[in-house]
Amino acid sequence: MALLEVNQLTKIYEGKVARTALDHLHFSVEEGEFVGIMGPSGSGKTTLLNVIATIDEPTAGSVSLRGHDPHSLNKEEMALFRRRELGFVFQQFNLLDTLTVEENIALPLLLDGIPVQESEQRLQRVMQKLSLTANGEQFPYELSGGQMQRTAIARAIIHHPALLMADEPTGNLDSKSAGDVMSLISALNAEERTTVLMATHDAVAASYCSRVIFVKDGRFYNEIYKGDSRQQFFQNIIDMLSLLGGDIRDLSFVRP
Amino acid sequence: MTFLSFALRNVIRNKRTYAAYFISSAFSVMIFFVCALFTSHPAIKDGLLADSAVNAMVGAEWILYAFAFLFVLYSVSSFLNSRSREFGIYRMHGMTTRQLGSLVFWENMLIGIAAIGLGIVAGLLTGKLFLMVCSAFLDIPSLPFQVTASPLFWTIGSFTALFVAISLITSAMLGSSKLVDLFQAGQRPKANQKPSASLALLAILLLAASYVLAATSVATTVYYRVIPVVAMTVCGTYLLYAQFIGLAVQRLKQYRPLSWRRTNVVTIASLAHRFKDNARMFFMVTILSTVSFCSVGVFASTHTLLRSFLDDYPSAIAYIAKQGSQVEEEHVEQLKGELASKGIPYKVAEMPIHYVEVRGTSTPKRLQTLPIIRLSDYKTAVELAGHTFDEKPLEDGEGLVILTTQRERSFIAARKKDSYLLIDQPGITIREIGYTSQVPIPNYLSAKLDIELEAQFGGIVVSDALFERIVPDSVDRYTGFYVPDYKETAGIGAQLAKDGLVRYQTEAPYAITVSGTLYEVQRSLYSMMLLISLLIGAMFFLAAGSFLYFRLYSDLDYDRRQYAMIAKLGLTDKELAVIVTRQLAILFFVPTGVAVVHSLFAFAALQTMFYLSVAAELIIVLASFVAAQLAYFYFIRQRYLRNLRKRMS
Ligand SMILES: Nc1ncnc2c1ncn2[C@@H]1O[C@H](COP(=O)(O)OP(=O)(O)OP(=O)(O)O)[C@@H](O)[C@H]1O
Ligand SMILES: [Mg+2]
Repeated sequence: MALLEVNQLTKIYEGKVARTALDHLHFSVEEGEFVGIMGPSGSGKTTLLNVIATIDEPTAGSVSLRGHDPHSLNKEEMALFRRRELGFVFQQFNLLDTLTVEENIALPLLLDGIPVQESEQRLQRVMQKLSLTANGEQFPYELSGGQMQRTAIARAIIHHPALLMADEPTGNLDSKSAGDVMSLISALNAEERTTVLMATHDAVAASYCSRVIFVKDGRFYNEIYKGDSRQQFFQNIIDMLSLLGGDIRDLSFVRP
Repeated sequence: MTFLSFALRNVIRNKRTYAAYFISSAFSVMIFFVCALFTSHPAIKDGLLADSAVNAMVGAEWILYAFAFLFVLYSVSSFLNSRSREFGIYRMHGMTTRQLGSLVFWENMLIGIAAIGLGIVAGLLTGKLFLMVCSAFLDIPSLPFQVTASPLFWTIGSFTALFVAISLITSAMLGSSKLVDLFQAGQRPKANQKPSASLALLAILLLAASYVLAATSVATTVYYRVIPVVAMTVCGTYLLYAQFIGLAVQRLKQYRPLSWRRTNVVTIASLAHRFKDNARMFFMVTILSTVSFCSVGVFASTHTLLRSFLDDYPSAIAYIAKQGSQVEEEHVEQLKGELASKGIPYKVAEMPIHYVEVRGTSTPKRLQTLPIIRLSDYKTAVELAGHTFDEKPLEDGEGLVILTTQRERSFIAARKKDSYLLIDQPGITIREIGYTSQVPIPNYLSAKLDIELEAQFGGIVVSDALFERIVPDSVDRYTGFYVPDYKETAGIGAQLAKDGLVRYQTEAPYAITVSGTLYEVQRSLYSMMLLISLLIGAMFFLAAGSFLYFRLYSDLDYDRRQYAMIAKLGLTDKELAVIVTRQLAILFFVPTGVAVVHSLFAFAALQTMFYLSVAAELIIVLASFVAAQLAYFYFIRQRYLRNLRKRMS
């Protein structure tokens, strides 16, 4: 059974003009996969992640995680589901600027009432893994963009979520930091077998995935698997993006 | 687009932020206006009320005005602070300081004018009610509601001047800040300012010292202690918030078993984050609440003075004819006539008061004039007043110090008993052996004994035999009229004493108190003071509430973003409510709590000045304030949570 199944997912934003953000989107993700979602701006990537994460509700269709639909939960259970089963890395980092790096990272554990000692142990481990040990006492505004991103990732994985979701985790980073962050996520995926679902515009970032799903106007467009060569995979992604007719600006970091 | 419409748009967009400030300003305009309506009412001007009461009200109006000035100034400058980023953007886009100044000027003026308008309208609507309340409170015939030009003119004029002055001051202040400062303001947490341990300690020492001084003060020391205690409390309170709490929060933060327990981490972090900003606001709110608790408490307690009225004014009419008076007989006859024509049955007691030159053994250098009365006269006076006479017979050379009011009891402990040598009759001494248990002659009619102790005590009672032996230097005659119900004597002797009182220390050949009239005058004065203190207390309380409200709403956007972020990680509704409630509770009840503690100690000191217990009054006052604060807390919490949830989803 797949870890995540997205069944004919449809999301329509009501308003003066109804906007179909997701249109019968259908795909599944296996345990341990590292899946990228790509598509032009406004194609529904953020909406998709939000609906999977129960931050937003679908108009039609369903999501199933390990065979259960998180949307059938009540609000309270949803909150608990998010903090136990999911890790979310937001495009805008979403760090709490009143909390130190340590506190930001430990937050999911603290909210869940994990004893302090255990929290501290786990905290040390992730901080080590993400090379944040020196930054523990700092506040987010004292960090560089890359450090903030790593903090956000640390927070998303500290509780060993079933599914790690990342919305453009490299969007605000230079190519060096973006590379670091991506190596990190793929190492996590490889070593801890954390399943990852990542939305991105960045073809280089996408080339770290094992599979990339392309969406256009909220619809499934195509998907490509990595194969043996990352170089080749990257080229295929670029080709697919130009087929998609995305703005050339989306083809960031075009380099061999 | 003109600046005026730009300003108007800004004000309307920010209406939520301005709401409490606007309402408090309008409220002060309203109070000012209805007070003016009252004091300038034709019936009041015709002398319906004692002058002292009317003057008290007029004084209160100007206190209110001065306070409104400070309140508006503080509020406006904190609004401007919270908008510095916005101003930075305007200036980046080329708005000149002058233009910005005029924008701010017009924004303030718009709010000010609206507040004046609303205040006047509310005043007109509630004016009739206010006049009714006043007349019921002061027990005067009800006043017909009529609006004359003068209160309107005064209210509009003085508050327009206030808003113009403040708009000018604040728009002038704007020019000085640098662009980069404007941009950085409010962005980064300010948690890094280190509170100092020694200042935190100082805060505790100052507060402890002033509490001890307040709690241990007695009637004689309370006057000297007031100013240092108030100064120490004010400084201590400021340091408490600015240093001690910051330090405590920091320590708490380091103690993870507590600070890392579930949502505590968020609460404590946001406390630490804002402690400097909050310190100033907490301080203001605490001081305002304390002043408001204490003023209402004090004036609620003065009402107990009326309860001991009968003890302090034993005879319904007390008359003293000074040595050589030509008018005594005429006056006494007149009083008797008036009592008879009103059909009030009365008994009369007369007693001579003798004055002799003495030297106190404690102050041998100074000559003193000592008033003495006979023990049997004292006995008659006490019995006619309806008390039982329980003094032991006096030996020769012994004397009892006369109380002129029961309040003087509190001074007994601090007073050393003296003895006196008569100047002209060297053989005779009078030794104080105790104090009378009742008041024979009212305070206002007593020539004083202890000049240095702020004129306490009224003379000495001596045995009849000794009294006869002493040749007086001068003689006054006291006549007391005793009636079943002293309140009926209101209005009697109006030609002799307008407000029921001619003090002994005047040029007149007589002194008089008429209890009925005096009671009414005092009661209306006390009621007026209570009314005023309630108005001012309400005003201060509202202002404190408005500071809290402003703090909350100026941070709402920021808080909302923070909460939304946590919610995305998985925060249940219940947990959100817990965090928010806890933060609001800290905001609302820490300053109130400190104010209550301050007030309790102030009241302990206050009690020393009263003979009867004022605990009941004070407890009622504190309880009602706390209840009001609770109601305000629930109201705001509910709205705030709804607001958060609405904007978060
Ligand atoms: N809250 C909302 N209300 C109405 N429409 C919305 C809302 N959020 C998103 N949309 C619309 O839904 C569509 C998909 O938006 P979404 O944010 O999912 O795109 P995206 O793929 O993440 O784009 P980008 O790559 O630019 O981040 C867009 O057309 C957007 O205008
Ligand atoms: Mg997006």
